Amino acid sequence: MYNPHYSGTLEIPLKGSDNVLEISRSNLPNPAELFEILRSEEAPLRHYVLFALEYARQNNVDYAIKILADGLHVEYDSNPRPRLPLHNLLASLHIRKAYQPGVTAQERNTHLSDATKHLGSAEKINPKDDTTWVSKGLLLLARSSLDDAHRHFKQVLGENPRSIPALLGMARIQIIRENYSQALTTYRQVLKLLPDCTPNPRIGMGICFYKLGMEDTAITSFRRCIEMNPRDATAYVMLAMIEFNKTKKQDMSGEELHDTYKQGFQYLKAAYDADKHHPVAGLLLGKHFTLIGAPEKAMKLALKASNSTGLKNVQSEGFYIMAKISHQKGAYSEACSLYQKAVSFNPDNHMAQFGLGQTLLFKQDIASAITAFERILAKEPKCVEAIAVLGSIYSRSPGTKSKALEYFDKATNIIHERNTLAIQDPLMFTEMAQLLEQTDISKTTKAYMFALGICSQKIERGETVEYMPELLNNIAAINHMDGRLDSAETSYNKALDLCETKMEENGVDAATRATITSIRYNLARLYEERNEVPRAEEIYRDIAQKYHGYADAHLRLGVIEQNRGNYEQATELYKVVYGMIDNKNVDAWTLMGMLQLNQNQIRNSRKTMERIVKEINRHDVYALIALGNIQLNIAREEKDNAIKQELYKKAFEFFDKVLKIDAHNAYAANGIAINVAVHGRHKEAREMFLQLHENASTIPALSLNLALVSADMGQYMNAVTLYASASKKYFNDEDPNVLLSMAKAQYCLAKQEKSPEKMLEALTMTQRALRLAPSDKTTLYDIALIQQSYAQLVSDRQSENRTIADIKNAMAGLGTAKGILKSLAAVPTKEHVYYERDIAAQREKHGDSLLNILERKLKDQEAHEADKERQAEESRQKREDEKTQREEEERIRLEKQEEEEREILERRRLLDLGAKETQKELDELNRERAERKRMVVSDEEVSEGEFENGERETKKQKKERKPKEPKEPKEPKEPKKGKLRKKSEIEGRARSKSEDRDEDDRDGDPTSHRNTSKKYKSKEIIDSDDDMSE
Amino acid sequence: MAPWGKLAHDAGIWSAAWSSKNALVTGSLDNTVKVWNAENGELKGTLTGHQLGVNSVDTNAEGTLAVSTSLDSQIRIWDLEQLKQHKIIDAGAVQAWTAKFSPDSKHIATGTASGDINQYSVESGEKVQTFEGRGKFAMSVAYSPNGEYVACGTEASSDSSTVLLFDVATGKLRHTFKGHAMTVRSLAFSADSTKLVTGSDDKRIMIHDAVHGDTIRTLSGHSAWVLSVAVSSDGVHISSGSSDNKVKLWDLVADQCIDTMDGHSDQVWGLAWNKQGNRFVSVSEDKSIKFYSTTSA
Repeated sequence: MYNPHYSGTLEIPLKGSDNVLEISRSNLPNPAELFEILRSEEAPLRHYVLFALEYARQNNVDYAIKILADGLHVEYDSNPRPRLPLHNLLASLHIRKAYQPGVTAQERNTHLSDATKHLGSAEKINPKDDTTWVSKGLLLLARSSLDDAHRHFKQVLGENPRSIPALLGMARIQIIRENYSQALTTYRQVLKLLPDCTPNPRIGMGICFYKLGMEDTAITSFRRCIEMNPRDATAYVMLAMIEFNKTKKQDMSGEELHDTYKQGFQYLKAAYDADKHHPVAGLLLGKHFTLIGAPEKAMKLALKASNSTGLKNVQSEGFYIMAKISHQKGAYSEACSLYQKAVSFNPDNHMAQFGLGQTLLFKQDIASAITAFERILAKEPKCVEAIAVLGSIYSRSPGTKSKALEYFDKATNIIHERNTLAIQDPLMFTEMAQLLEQTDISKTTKAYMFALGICSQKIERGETVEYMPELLNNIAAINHMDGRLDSAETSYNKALDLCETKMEENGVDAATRATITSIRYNLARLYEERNEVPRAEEIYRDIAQKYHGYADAHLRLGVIEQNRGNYEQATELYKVVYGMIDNKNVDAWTLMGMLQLNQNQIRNSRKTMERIVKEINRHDVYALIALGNIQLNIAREEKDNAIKQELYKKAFEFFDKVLKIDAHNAYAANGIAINVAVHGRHKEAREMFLQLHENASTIPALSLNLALVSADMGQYMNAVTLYASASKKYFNDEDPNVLLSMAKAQYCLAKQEKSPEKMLEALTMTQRALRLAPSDKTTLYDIALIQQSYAQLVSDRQSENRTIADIKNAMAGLGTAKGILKSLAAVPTKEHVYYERDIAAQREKHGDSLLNILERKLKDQEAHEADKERQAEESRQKREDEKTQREEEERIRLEKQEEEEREILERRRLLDLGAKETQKELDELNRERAERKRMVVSDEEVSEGEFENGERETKKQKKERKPKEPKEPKEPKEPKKGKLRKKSEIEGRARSKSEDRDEDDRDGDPTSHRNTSKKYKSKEIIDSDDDMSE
Repeated sequence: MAPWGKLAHDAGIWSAAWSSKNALVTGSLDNTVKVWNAENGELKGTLTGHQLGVNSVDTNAEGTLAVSTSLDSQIRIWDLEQLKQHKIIDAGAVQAWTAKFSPDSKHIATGTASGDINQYSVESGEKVQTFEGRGKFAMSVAYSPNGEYVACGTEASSDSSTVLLFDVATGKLRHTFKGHAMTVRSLAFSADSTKLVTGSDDKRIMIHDAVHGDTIRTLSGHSAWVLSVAVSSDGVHISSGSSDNKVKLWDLVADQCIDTMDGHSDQVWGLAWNKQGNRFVSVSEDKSIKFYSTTSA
């Protein structure tokens, strides 16, 4: 530290003489010899100091300490003052020694306490000695007591503003406190006082310049140091670091990057050559070897760096490098404890902190991992990587999903702010997308696109992205669910291609095979949606054959068969799943239950659904709703009123249970509303449906039920409007049953208002239904029925309110009806029809009598209209007549009219009798049809009892009960579903969920990749667009 | 846009045909058949007699006769020059869903509920031949322009054999196309009789090789049932109408959609090309007729 005037020799005054003994600096004796000379010559103590300094300068601190310690034992003066410099120097040397490389913690403590002891002795001799104070300052600095150290240096500088050691100490504190410009001023003072001071203040200045952004000036400073001392390793190290930092800048071309790194490495090499023990040089070199993939060399250097006692940052970095090497080797425990050491030496070593978090995650120590990552965030709130990992951790537990989204959002915002894909790991976006799938599909897509962007960049750079196929699969699934089938197909195929390439390059592995299976399954789902059923089937068959345990493939094949009406094959396929693959496969049981319902095997269906609730999941909302609906149906058919009420109560209980599990389940609420309706509380039911309709207007069944209840309440106009809008909104006017329900309401409206015109509208609606499904002979029957009703209404009308054309039209309609009824009655008995042939025949006869009546009425009408014509003529004449004449004419006309009305009333009485007969027949018919279609929503008590008797609604009602999406199959033995896994670093967070939107992710199998959107599964099953998940 | 604006009929229009003499014939749910001047959109006449909705219309090669069928399976033949009924054939309930003239104008083919195709003689009104189907309701029927084949599209069937092609000369079933998963409501041959275009409730249009019996290509794009397909006589275009209310124009050569028209507010039930193959009309449940030209498009 103190630099005495420099010459080639040191002198020892010889005792009792003016001569001196010259000792060459380059050839110093050992301390023992030296001490012999000094003691025998009784040299003053300051000579001990001079020799100690020389030893120290030659890096022989032990010798220096030895000679000084010996010096203190020399007692030939009672004056303690000359001993002071010895204590001071000893203290400094011990401090220096404490931080030499390779010193153990124990040794260091010994040195530091020795230093403290010497400083104590020095203080006793002279409490105000500058050097002592400076040393004390340095000791405090070494112990990181910045404030105390600062006080000591300030004290010294107050006494002696030119104290170089104090100035240097002060500058160091200023640098630590990041007061770089202040530090610069301090260093400049030192340079003014002592231009060739060692250690070279230009190093410190260079650091300050660099920190202040004056990179070139910094470089000049370090170069100057090297000019002054070509072996100044620190200066070289600083230059190397500057070059290395340059390479971290984004905008460098590949070539520039290479050159810069090379330059840095040259500096580093020079530093290492100058001082093989320079801790930072060793550390950087270690890093270099890690980078170039020479872990053994790196390990050796890192180990050395980790022992650089006193240089905590260097030690921390050393441990970090070792940890990282272990981490890469897959020695996670070892890595974890090394990271821990790195962090203990420098809690702000974020890279080490991050690695620690990762290895802790691997060890499943989630809580500690969270702490590690949160620590990074405490210091670096915008560390996207840490935010992303935390989001990922939180996303895994159901309770912290919203927290996870918060983190993901934060990360995305930061990335947007920086306008760069700072995160190089597409996993974050993948996980984010998966979380968002339940809530925000546009954000989901965006997140996937981000992930894809990162992957593409990586691929452009020639890096391999091993989970690219899975990512593409997920993106495809999103497009798939949103109905962009073409782009979904493209992505699926691209993903498949990538898998093929991967297998060609790396050979067949189970994971890739599993991914391929998942993608193919999704592709098959897409084909199904596009109605390319044979293509889909081919894939399902192949999957089912190769991987017998892949339950969903069997189930889809079953659904396809079921759609074709091949119930036996469908049953077999469902049985394969619950019988051979997984007895607790809820989807298989559910599909089975639905199929049974379809086949009118109500009791079997109920048993199946009960099985799900009793043996698999007593909270299975789907099965509970199905059971409620079945109960409702059974109740409807029950004749005994007391039992009926009991059964309704039971149905109600099922729906109630569902609402307890999911308070917002519109299907259950719908069921309860139906229950209210069947108890005749229509108004209440209507209120409930209305409310539900407002909150869950996307469920077609609700619109239909609302329409139905409106019709039941006699609000036919309302019902017609509701049916019309539902038909258009949900069914593209493609569902004949909805149109028929609308026609029925219209029919009732026409009857209610006795309006033939409105009856014609009912005819129009029924014709539209027939056009959609011409093979439904029942619709044809309805058309005949409506035409007869029209004729009846025309017949019932007063002559004033109808025309000859009306009657002729009605008669023509009766002719058409007759033709239809005749052919319907004549349909061969081997063909099953949903009407009674006898009744069709009776209807035909009824039409004949109606026709007779109308024929007569036509004559009357003709007479009436001729009469009217004549009356008009007469009245014209009358206007020309006298007032009295007009009165006379009026009287005659009124008489005539009265007569006519009596006649009409008589005929109507007769007709009403006829109509009642017809009504009876219709009731018969309706009962028959009700049996066919089972699920009748409205009860006899509340139904109109005419025309269709609500059974069309019934059909819709049934549809709402379509099976839920088959869920994650429990655990197909093989294949495991595609994994989105990045093996090495982020092992802990590597995980990907399927695109399953199902909230009720019961097994949480994180590896599943199937596309299981209910949307299409359900559609296939029962041909309805509504969904009953949430 | 032709002057026949919004309400060409009082109810949904279900079918259209464009005669070689430039008359447009439309059939509607309002029980009428209307004849229009396709040049200026002027109504030439309203033909009444059907008691239920008019399900299909077609014109003969000479443009002198039109045939229509109604929901009650009445086949009526109309004289397009005198605008009056020429003949009535009662096929019996659901025994004549749609009808088409044979290219030589001698016969009318119509599909039945049992899936058979019956050929009636225009002259005598008698049934002269039956092509035996496979039991599924025949929704649509078409002759190949060369008169060699007659094809029909049926209701959905369990084995997906919804498109059948018969050899007129032998009366035998020649090909069964199994591509469509659902009901085939409309089909049409290409002008050279080599391709058969079908539209289905499965939202897809398929192009089949009528000669060899292969399905060549599937066109997807409609988001709901395909209700109508028609091929231009120049063999370049296919037009299609759907219950998604859209009309699409496809390039038959390039197999891709080249235009989508959304002028209709309801199901598009029928399409008809003019003789030259450069203009076509669409008719819809929204009661309107829309006019398109491919030359200006």
